[in-house]
Amino acid sequence: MKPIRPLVVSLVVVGLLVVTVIVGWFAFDIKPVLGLDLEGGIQVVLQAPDGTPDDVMDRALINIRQRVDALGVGEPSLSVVNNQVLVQLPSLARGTVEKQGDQWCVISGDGKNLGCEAKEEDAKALLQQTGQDRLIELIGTTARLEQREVLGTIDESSPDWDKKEWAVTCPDAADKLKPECQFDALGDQEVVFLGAQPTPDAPEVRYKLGPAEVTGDMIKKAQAVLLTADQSSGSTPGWRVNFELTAEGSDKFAALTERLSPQQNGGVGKELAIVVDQKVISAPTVQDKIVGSGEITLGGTDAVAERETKDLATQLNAGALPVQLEQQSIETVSATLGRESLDQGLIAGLVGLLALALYLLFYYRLLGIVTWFGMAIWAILAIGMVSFAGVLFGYALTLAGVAGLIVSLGITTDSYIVFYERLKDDVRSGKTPRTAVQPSFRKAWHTIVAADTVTILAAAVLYLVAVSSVRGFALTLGMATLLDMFVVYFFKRPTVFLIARSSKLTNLPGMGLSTGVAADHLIDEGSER
Amino acid sequence: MSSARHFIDVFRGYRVPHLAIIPNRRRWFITSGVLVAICLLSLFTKELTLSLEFEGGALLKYPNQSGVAVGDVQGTLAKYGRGDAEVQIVDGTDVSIRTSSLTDLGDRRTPLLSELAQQAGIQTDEINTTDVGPTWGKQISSKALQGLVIFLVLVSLYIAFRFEWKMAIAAMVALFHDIIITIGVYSLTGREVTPATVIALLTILGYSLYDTVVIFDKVQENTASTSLVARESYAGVVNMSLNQTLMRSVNTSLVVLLPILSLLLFGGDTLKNFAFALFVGVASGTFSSVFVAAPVLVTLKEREPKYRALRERRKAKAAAEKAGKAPARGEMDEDVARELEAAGVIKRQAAAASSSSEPKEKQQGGRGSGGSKNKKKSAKQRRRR
Repeated sequence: MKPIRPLVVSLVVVGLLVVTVIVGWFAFDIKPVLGLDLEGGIQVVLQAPDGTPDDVMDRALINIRQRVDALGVGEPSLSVVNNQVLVQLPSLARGTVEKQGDQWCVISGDGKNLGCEAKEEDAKALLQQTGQDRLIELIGTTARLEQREVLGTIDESSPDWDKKEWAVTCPDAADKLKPECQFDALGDQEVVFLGAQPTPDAPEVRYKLGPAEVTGDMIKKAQAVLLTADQSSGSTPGWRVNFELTAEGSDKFAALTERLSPQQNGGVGKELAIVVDQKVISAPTVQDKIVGSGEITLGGTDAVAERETKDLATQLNAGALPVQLEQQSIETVSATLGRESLDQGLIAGLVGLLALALYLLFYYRLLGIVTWFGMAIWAILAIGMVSFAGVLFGYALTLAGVAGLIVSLGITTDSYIVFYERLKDDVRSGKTPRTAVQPSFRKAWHTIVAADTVTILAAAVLYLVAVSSVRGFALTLGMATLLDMFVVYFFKRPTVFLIARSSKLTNLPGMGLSTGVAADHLIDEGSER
Repeated sequence: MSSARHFIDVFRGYRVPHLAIIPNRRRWFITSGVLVAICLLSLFTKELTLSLEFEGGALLKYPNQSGVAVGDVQGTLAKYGRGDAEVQIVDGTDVSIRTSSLTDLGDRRTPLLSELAQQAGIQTDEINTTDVGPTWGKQISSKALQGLVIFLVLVSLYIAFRFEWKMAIAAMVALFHDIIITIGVYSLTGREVTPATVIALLTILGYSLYDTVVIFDKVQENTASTSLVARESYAGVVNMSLNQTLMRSVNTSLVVLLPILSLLLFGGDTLKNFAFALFVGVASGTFSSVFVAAPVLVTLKEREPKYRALRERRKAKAAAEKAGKAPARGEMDEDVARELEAAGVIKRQAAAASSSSEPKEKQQGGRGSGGSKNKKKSAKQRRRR
């Protein structure tokens, strides 16, 4: 027989985890984020120019979906109404509000401090606001990347500042909807764009630029990276986007950088402007011909710079919106399910679980009660995981998610049944319940791992390939299955092993382990003879 | 009395059932085949009803003067057969309804609109109606399908690697059986397919494979013993494995179906829809693991030369036994002999009665009281050991 200590230790660990989740719920308000159907969320209405063809709207929708999905798995609802895109998202209050000293601070999902307020309500509002701002920025901006040759720059001190040739092309937000300001129309023209301002009161700089030569659709893959001071070797440290180009993009980029390189220009390299949405993000001086890949330096090492860089990478990967969209309104939307249907679902779920619990008790006796505990532990840990996923990557629990969890609960119960039926098998072939538990568990574990691997495989593939609600489903399924294996190994195994050690619990009349695995009948018959 | 006792003994697990599932596999193939054919026929002749999430429809928006609740609006819509409409309160002041195209309502369109207007305390012409595109676009479906194909390839490889490729084929056959049945039932009943249905279908997919793998694991364990296979034939061992895992299958399906059944009976509209797909799929999944996946596996395996040779040998032996010149059994374990006979009898009859199916019928009730006595005896003997 195995030593008792490791069994007890593993039970204690499981107990501690359960306590952690319960404390997290009640003391720190770490609860699952509820999806659109259960709790509502916000709706952003984005408007395209009049007469935008349907297929362009559809492409814009797909693009926005990709961007939203990169943000998390909150099951957005996106649809096209005439020339508008409606984007609905569940609560964006991702992260937590923590008390630090006498202030309430907003901590983002990845552990960064986003600012503090004196009142808790204000901090919560700030949390909602940061989520919302980021979202609108992420989905609403076109993210059209262009690389153009810099023909000249001026700032306010220049005497030419007010001359017509230096007037900014399409300066206002309203211009976005004009046909002559669309990217395709401006692509092969010389333009004047503003430079990005590092701070709001920094002096304005205007760039006169040649035609766009390399564009965002030539980017194969973009990635946000942080360059530390000792890695930077001369270039500015901070956040930047590294990008790889397609074959076409690589050729054009190489030709462009070669033309601007010092070798072609008498020893002094020319500036190359990196333009995103008609704003010059940076204008580095070309040092040499570059093939295949490049980078966009945004600078800064703080949380804001990190978010901006990551969002730019997301946008570049999703590609530019095929049309410029203007944000029309942001509204809150209510849950689509009335209170009643939710209550009905809960009651129905409870009735089903009660029936299940009674059957398990009737069939497996003491082992049935072990199963109750196992299921309860599983359920509590599952809620903990869902809450955690909500904080970490915006996972929002929808009604489908709840129902999926109920099915997973049934499947996790099967792990117990597989084990108990194994035990029965071994008892029937002549072992005593006491000696049978360990070999039976080994065999049952083998089966459970094989079967659960299939489910985890399904979850992983769907999570990686699919979009929107299918991804949310895959995440729940995968988590539920991993949790199943965890509870089986660290709760069920030690508990049943410990019960088997106690002859009192094993032989409890009508209720014990022996009755549960149908071994009592065998003992009775044996004593009769 | 004795058969009730027998049933209870099997249910409690005092004895292993002796159901002849594999020997009667042709019957199960026909049953499944007919079901699948009906479903396919229905799918080809009748289009699935897709919900507004796939098709798009109408978006109604109007001010909420009276402060009506989501549930009340849904109630009104349900009266006109639009219980599946999505109702939201926007910014606390407007009602927004997404529903399938209102032109389908014909004459009832106007009364619906005026009832909604009355409920919200406004004039009918304040209801703004526009067309809305699908929220579950083609992209979501195609991505999900892409994921599915990759998953099926990977899972086939996994089963082939972990078990064997014939089991992978059998599991896939069972899986497609379940998917066709579930979609077929939607087509037959004319129920609306919603995103929840698609999610349910994916759940079924996982469950069906899971359930099959549990049974195959037992089959693999039992067939690993060459002496057992030599004695019982591959089909016999699979049948034995099915009987050994039968109570697991019964209990698991009960445990999974109970909460789903409860949702189906008492849950609201949305949940009922979800529970319906799950119920059909899980029931089909449990059935197919036992009655489709395992029989297909046997059919595939029995084609292998070594098992075919084994079957020929056993047939010859059985024929010799039937002729009355039974071989001396003295040195054989009584238990083994019983089991051999149980499987052998079936083989013998199947071989002898290949032209007429009558004698076969008699043998199908594995639980029949005639054979029960012998089996009971052998079970007791085993217990005494």
